[in-house]
Amino acid sequence: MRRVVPILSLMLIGSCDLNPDDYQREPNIYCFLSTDSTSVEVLAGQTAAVGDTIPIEFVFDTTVSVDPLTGDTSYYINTFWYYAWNGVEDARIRLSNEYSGQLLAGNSDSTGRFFADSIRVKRGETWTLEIIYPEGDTVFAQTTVPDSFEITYPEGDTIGEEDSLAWNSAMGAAGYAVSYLVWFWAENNDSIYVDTASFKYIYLYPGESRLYYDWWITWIEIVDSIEFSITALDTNACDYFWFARNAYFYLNPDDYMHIPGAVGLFGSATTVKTKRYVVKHLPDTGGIPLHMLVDK
Amino acid sequence: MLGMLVGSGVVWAAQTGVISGFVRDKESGEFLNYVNVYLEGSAIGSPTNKQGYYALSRVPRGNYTLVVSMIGYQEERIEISVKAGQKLRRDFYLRYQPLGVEGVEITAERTRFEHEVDIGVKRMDPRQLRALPGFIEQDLFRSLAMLPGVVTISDYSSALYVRGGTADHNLVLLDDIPLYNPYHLLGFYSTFVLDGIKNAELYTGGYPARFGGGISSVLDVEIKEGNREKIEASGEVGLLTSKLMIEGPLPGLEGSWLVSGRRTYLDAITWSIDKMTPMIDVYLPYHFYDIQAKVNLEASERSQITFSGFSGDDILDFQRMAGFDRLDFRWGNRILGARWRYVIRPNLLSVLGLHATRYRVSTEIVGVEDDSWYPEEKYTYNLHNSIGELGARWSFSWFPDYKHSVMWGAEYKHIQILNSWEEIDEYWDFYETEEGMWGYILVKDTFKEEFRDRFHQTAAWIEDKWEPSVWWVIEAGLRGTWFSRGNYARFEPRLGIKYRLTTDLALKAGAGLYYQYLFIPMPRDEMALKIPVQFFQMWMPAGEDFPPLRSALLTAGTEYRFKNGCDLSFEAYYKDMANITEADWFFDDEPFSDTTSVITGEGYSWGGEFLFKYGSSWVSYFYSVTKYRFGDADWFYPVHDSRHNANISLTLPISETWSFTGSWVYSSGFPFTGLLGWYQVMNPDGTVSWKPISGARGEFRYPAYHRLDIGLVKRFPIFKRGNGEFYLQILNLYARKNILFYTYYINPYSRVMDRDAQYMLPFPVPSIGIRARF
Repeated sequence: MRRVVPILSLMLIGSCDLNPDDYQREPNIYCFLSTDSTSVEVLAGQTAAVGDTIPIEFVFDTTVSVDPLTGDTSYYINTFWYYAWNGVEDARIRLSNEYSGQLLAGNSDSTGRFFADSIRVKRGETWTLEIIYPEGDTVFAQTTVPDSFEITYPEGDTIGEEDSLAWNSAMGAAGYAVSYLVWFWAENNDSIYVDTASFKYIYLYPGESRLYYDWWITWIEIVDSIEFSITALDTNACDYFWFARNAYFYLNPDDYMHIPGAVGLFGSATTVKTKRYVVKHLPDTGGIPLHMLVDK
Repeated sequence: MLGMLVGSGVVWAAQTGVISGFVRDKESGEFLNYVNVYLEGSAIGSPTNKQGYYALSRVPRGNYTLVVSMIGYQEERIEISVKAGQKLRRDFYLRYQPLGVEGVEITAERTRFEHEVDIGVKRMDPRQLRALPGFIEQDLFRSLAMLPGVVTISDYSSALYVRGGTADHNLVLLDDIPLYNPYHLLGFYSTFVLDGIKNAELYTGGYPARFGGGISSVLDVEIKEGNREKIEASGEVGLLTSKLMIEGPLPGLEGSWLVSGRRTYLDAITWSIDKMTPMIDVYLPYHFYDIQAKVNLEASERSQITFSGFSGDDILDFQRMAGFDRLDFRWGNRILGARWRYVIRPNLLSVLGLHATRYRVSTEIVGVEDDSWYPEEKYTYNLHNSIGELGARWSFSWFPDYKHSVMWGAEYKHIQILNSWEEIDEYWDFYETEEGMWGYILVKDTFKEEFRDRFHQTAAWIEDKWEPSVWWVIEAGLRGTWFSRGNYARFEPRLGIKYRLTTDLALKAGAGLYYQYLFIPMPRDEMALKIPVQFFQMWMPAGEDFPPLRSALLTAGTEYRFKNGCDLSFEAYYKDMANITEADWFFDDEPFSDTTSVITGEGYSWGGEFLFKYGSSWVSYFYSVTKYRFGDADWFYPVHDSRHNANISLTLPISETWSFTGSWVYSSGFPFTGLLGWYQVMNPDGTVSWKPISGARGEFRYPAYHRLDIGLVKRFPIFKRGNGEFYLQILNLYARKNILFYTYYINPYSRVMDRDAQYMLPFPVPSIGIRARF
């Protein structure tokens, strides 16, 4: 019997289960530095365990309709909801680079959001973020802003099916995001005017080329002109934007986020814009495929 | 020296005789396997083999009582006198003697206890399997899952997981022919018609060298040969299916034939409901059927030829439904085989077999586009996925003396995997005639892609069962295989030893190496295993990228036979698995490469199994630990790792005409990859999303699974020569809510990160039916 008891105990220990309630909530942060931005926002929050309550904001939109025959007025209330940032109050946040640093102020209207207006982010700089949570958790993260780069193609003032969008590789860039702004002809009450629409993101890695079709730039009938923005992303931002968008059940934040002891992003980017190209109207072609090419 | 050995053998043979023959069922004339044949008061004895044949060689001259016995049959005893050099042929016809109550028997009689190693072997008599409660339909696989070492992971899937292996690690044989996908109704049921099955043996480990191709287990199922004495028919009407079996003697010839089949009528039931209730659209044009047949021709006393055939299909056929003109989806198995058994000498038996087997899935989708401007246009998609083989197998059984039985043989298989995709577009196009007029013409565009992979597999084996003394039984074997794809040659040694400490207590041990050249990668997605979607069986062959699966098994155990016929056995095992595979249906680490990848890994399983049985009832418990690892990832508990498992199966007579059956199954929680929590991400457009944080793979466990099923059987006569049975069964009697999986979601109104359990069968499920036999 003396031998049986330890064996049985070992067997029972071997069948012990992990309880989801054992999960320890982690700091959950977000800060994205960009060279084309004049302000910096840091979001400090927490992950949630199964069973936790999270902040959700509801928006009520009332639509009024009048029956043309009876003149009766009807009111329809449309309800929308969105997730608010699950932030923490009273976090102490310091953002600094090689030359200076400053404490960020909290936004009284939104828990967990902290702002700095006077920060200018430059290419090649290394920035440090330090967050001390009220409970004592400390988050320390760094990012180096990707260096400058040049968009080399297309030349001239027009862009068409045969053209490629190409740029040289930026030092410190792990990937690129391409967004674009189109000017298109729109109609309203028998008048024709030019409207704009912006789109992002298409992601590329260094050395990669892609052929990309988009509804807007292939619909040449109404597109007048187009302007591209190429954003070179550091590793943190590149992984975050791509994986977070595609995160599925088996992909955990630790697999693609690079902040020790926390979940989230402290990343940076350098953005370069092209000029505004006139879209070449070629009646026999299906549109303008976007050939994107990053030089190694 | 060799001359001396041979010479002494001749002298020895001259002093001895051979007794051999077949043992059959007196009523039907069917050959009976595992019948105990022994000379009373001596250590000489042997069970009949799969062909119902026994041979006692080198029996010293003298007078003996030859005893032939088997559970459920009247014992036969004859006095026999053996003279030097005599070859005595004695065939027996045993009379069936009902035990009073039907239930599962795991027949392990004295002779087999003394003469067989029997490590990890579970035998079931499907004639009595029917008494066990089944989910609407009795099922062989679900009954096997109540044996120690075997688990199923869901009420919705009958896939068997044996000693830590996955379902594709089981080799399933029907009359020695492999069945590649032995499931119906997306995995709910196995594909065997119980009425037409003679017996089923499940080797959960340590199986002999004549078997190869499954690294975890072998399920060896034999179709009945048919009644060679008279024409008989039996049938059953149940809630889901009806079955019919007809058997009889071959007219003008020595032999028998048997045809059995079943068909579901879910389509007819839902169609009737649909017609009666126009407001409700429940029609499901789905059914499955099985037909199995066997012809047994006994050409002479020494020669027997059998032909076996099986055809089973699941058919889902939508006509002008579900947005298609036609959606025809069918999958199923076909097998065809012939075996020639020939008694070359009384102590030498040969079996030559030829077979063809195929599992295929085919889908035909036809859509018709019809508008007012053009005549009808049609598009057709045909998807085909199949695996098939042609094979030949020749084996020999030699009984040189009563201490040895030697088997050897060879087999060859030509295997083909075919995946094809065809798209046919029929549309109207304009053309200009010679007169300058415009007309339109029907254009047919066809696109077809086909991937065909052919390869060869050969094997040769030899095994010897040797009883050096009355206390020892040693089974040693060696199997050599060659697989053309990747040019793999492998040797698989097998060893089994039994030592009897007393007349009633035996120790046994076994070891073996096993290779498998065809496999189905385990889905990374756990739900794909829990929810039955087992019609697309994407078998993959070993090759340069994927070496053959390998397992090494060590087993040790003990068996005690009580005087009153009870058996108590314990087996412990350790199994090491290499080159097992997993299919990751999600993208890999690189962005933009949304691909399917198959990776190899390793695993191990160990455990202990207790089994106490008495007649047709038993109690079992087994403890097991299974872990897998793929690629560089961490070790994890796969979904079928169940720590504690217990089964109680009872078959009790209430009266001469009533009987009760019940089974209770318990498994401590199965592992799953659960959700720890959620984290928030900021999207480029400034909105917040929540993403799941999963725990480590297989880290969580569901609550324990348990279920009680009961059944009542009432027997009654039908006219003068028939008999019938009415049965009532209730599954999940106490409405246990076993969890199939959890769903996680965010409830925006309560603002809570919530979790819901989805249950298997949360309520009692009754089932009734009637069987008749004439």
